[in-house]
Amino acid sequence: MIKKFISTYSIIIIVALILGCTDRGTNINEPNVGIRPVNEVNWITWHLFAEDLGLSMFTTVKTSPVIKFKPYTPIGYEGRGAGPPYPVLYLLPPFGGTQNYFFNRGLVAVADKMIAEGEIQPMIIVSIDGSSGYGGISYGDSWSGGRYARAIGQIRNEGDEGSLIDYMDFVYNTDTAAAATGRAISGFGLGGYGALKIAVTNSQNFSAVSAVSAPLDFDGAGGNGGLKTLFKNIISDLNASGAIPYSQYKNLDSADHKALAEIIAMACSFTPYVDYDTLLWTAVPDTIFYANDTFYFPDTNTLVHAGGSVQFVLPFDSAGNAYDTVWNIWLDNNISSLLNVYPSALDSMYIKLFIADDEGYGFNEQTRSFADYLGTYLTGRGINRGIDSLVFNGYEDYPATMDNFVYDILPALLKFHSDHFIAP
Amino acid sequence: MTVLRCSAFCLLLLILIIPNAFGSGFTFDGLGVKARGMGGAFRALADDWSAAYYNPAGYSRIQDNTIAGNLAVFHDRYSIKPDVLWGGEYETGFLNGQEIYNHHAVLNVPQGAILARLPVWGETVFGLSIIQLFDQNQSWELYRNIAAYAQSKFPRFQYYNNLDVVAFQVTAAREFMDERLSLGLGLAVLRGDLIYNSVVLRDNPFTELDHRPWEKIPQWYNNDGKGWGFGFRIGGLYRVNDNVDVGLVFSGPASINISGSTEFNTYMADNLTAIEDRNYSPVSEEYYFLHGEIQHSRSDFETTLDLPASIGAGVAVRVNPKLTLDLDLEMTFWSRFKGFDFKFSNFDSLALPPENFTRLRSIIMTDISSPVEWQDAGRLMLGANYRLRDYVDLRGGFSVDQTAVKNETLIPQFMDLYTKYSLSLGIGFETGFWHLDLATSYTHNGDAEATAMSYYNDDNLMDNLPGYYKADIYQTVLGISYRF
Repeated sequence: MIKKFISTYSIIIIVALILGCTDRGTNINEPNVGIRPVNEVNWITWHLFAEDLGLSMFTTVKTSPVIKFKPYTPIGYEGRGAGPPYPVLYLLPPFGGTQNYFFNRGLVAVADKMIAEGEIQPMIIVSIDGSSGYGGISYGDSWSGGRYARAIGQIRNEGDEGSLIDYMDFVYNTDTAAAATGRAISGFGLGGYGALKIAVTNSQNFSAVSAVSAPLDFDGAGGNGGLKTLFKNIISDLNASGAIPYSQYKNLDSADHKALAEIIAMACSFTPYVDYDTLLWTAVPDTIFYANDTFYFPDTNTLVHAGGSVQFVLPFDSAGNAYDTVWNIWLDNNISSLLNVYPSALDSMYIKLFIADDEGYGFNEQTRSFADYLGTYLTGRGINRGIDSLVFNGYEDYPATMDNFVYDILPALLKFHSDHFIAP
Repeated sequence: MTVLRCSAFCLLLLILIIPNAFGSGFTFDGLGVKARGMGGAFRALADDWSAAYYNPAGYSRIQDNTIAGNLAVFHDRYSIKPDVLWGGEYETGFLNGQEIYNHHAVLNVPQGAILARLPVWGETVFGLSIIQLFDQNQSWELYRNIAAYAQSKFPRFQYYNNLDVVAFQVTAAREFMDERLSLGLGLAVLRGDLIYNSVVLRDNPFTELDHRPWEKIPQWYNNDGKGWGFGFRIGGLYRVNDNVDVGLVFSGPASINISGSTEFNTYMADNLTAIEDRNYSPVSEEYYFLHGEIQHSRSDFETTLDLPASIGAGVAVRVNPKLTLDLDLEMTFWSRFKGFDFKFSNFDSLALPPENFTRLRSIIMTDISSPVEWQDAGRLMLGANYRLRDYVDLRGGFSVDQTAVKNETLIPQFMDLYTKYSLSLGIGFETGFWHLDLATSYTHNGDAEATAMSYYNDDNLMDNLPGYYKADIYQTVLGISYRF
């Protein structure tokens, strides 16, 4: 009896010790494997756009009419002609963001990780400088403000002397055979507006477009919101800080006046005032026909007094009320107006909108109202697909500004575009 | 039979009124082989050296001088599946969704005592014992810097709590009322040893560079210190009749001031393109922050370990000459324990950033709190000792613990989860003056889950670690004693 009990007891203890005390390891599946340090990925490059930018009213752009950009190439990329071609995503930063904007916010880590884990297909991502010109480009289409939209989005078949797409397709191992099916464009903030504008005006060149908290509906849902609200806020801020002397124009992209700087950049694109005497170009193209004295309102210059060759007209007066004559020209640049010119541009294009829900300029609301508009617009054209949008909220003490959450938006954005690239 | 019925009724009642049976902080229960074999139900028996802990009055009934010791060998099998997301949505760097195991370790704790019956105050039994009262020992790796951050390795013991409180206790006990009543008192010098590691995510003070994933700056710290304190324990045993004894024991609260040295690793962002973009000078604070280095620094630290009081009671019934049952209850006042408040001083100035780098220095040098909000916890133990032969005892026991830890305060340094159920078996051999005993037990914690981040003070550091927690403990205790 005792022997039997002791034997049984011993077995229980031995089994318990064996089962209970084996080394299980930590069971950690290491994340972040194969991610390159950001400085190991590519280099800043630039491309000359003498025709598109050479008449810029900004001296620095005129003397060096280039667009800087920085391509992300996936691990294993070996150059043009080596291996299968890669689809290309063009990424436009918000106003003032450089070609490093997305790299500074984790682009390499996000893309390397997602590609390694098979979540997205390997792709080239071209991050474009949005800081040139007057504190930032706004993707206008005028000789004086710069023809960025064309310079980036057209296909001219001019190799490394053509548009940015020409250049990329000539120099990099891009999916040129599949053309639009292997090319997409996206942007954040004003870059999102640029992406939509470029996609609408060059729709044959892109298969998908996305935008993040962008000014896509200038006058807002009811016609009295959007930028009109921002104008009021700008005047309110300026009344608190006082008028800005000309000597400080260069500093308008400081935190206090960034919204004004953004509006000025748009004014330079949409409603420039050109002092012809300062232009070197003697044969003035038709595109600046509207830049005449009619639109130069001394009254608005109590707010900002432009001088020299950088002259523009703001679409609001010193009380922040829209000045219709100028404002209407701005509205001609609204995406909905562009769709009137290119009605079928988005019929077959994949579209996704992202919203960082604490965007200080109200671009989040513009993106929302544009999504509603576009859904209705496409339905009216017999295309019944909803506009896919994704909202990012902040967390306690950390608001969901677009700038704060680029790192979190990028995975969803890259996934969307990867899913809509069609392999050649 | 009346006593048995009462005991059964009490057991049933207690199980019913403790539906959320919680565990008991970081009490070490691998003490005394006979007691462990009976599931810890020993307060009304207390007839071996471990009575110094279970009920000092028990020493008065030990007739022989004794030298004894035991070795508790135990293995904690814990796991945590972190679920730590900012705003419930955004990646933090914690290894979310993975069931992570604590580092493998088979731990052992030796303890022992010597007892002597001396003709003092009539006849008093004195004992000197070394008892491990409290213990935690587990380490984890639960965090990796978020993908775009500097991919620097953390030390293996990323989260670690090695806390030992040992009592060097002098116990005295004697009998009164014609041996019906026994009283005992234990006075102890307490030695506390603490190694405490953790990772904190501090707010980034560089407001122009605080966009994700750099809105938080990870800092790992390792505190290694020790301290001394005093404690006491008092107990009574009353013989109701030849078959029934009741016991009562109270252990006083104690505080130990612990001091030692701290090592910090503060992980800087690896964002060289931002340096390039903003053209930061190589001697600027921003450059220092963005260069992806690990800032190593050292300091001294102080903290206070507040230990809880407890009160326990038991009833032992000799059902027949062979079978003895014991039913114990214990309440430990864990609400006294408030976690740790680490105060740092005497930083190694050579390892710090320059004095004008005030933002970096604020990250590195600010004190850290690891507060908890615990609750008092009860424990029910039921044990049996069966004398199979004159030289062999068989034992079995069962216990149910409440946890001191509220779910929302769960952290990996204190693995006291939901209801703990413990099953024990033991055997003892007696040959001449020698006793040889063995007990083994298995304890299963009910799973626990913290679903949201908690903040208990204004330092903006997360004070819990949300996730799903599991715990099982295997324990074997070997004991030997010699009577002389």
